[in-house]
Amino acid sequence: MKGKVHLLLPAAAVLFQAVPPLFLRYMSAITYGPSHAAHAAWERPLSLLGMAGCAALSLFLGAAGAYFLLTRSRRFVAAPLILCCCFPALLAGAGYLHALLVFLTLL
Amino acid sequence: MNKRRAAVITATLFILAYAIALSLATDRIFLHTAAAPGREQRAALAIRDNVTPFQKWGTDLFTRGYLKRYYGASWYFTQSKRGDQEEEFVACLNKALEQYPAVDLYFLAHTNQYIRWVARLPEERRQRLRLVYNTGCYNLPQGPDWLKLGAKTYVGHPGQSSSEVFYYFFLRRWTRGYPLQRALHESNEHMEAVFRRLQTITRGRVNADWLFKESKAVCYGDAHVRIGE
Repeated sequence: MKGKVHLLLPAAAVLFQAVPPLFLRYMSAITYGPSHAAHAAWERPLSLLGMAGCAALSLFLGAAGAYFLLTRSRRFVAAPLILCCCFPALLAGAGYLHALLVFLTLL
Repeated sequence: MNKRRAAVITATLFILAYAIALSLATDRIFLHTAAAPGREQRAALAIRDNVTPFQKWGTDLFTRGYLKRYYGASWYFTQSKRGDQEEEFVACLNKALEQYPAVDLYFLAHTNQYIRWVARLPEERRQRLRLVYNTGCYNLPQGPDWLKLGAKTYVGHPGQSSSEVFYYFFLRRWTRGYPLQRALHESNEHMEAVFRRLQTITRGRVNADWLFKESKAVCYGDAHVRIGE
């Protein structure tokens, strides 16, 4: 199993992409849904923190996946996995990161 | 492949991904993000109408940060039903007009009549209203009435607008100190570019010319005003 980590990371990078949309829906529901579960004082920090987490994990899984594929796999295995799994994760992570920086008024 | 080369390729992939994300965001990066002088002299109020929780949350997340950073004081309201928050909004606006020489209003709502709320305030207080921005469809004709009420300038949309696209570009420029005319012009240009891109992606199902005609923001009053005055 330990020797297959470089193959598991790209899969994890793709699978993780289901999490951010669920998180965004969940945050909007607890903030402005009928239940109003989130306290007004921490709804914004929590949203931004969650978005930062989504960005960091997407970028980490995408980058680590690409790196380990490049160092441990043959090119004909690495290239399609990077293209189909790692790069989309990097792209999504970059998107979340950019959105976060815009919301923080840093860009 | 050796580790150094793999690291360089990985870093390149990240830079490429960020460049693509940036191009999809369709707006420039603002490196100078400091608040314009006189921050303590201005306040802002924004109100979002009763839409879906996701829309409310998205508007809140985007707007609140800019208002907090670029105004001495700001208040953000979200309605849970039509007509909701009137008393709270009017009381808050009254307080802001009493304490701050310049007050900007952001009506982030579908076709609306918030002008009736503001008209309840004393005339001398209303003279401190500066920018009134209204995302409401067909709310552009309110412009002259807002000027009569005391606002220095009013920005609205003429038809069935996609004003949320414009608002994204506009708030980022106006709060960074662009003169209103320039913020308006650039935001309209960027909005049109987004519509053109949508038209291409949807193979013509989205009519960019029609969307832009309905959505193009227009200003009544002083177009040279800026946030730092």
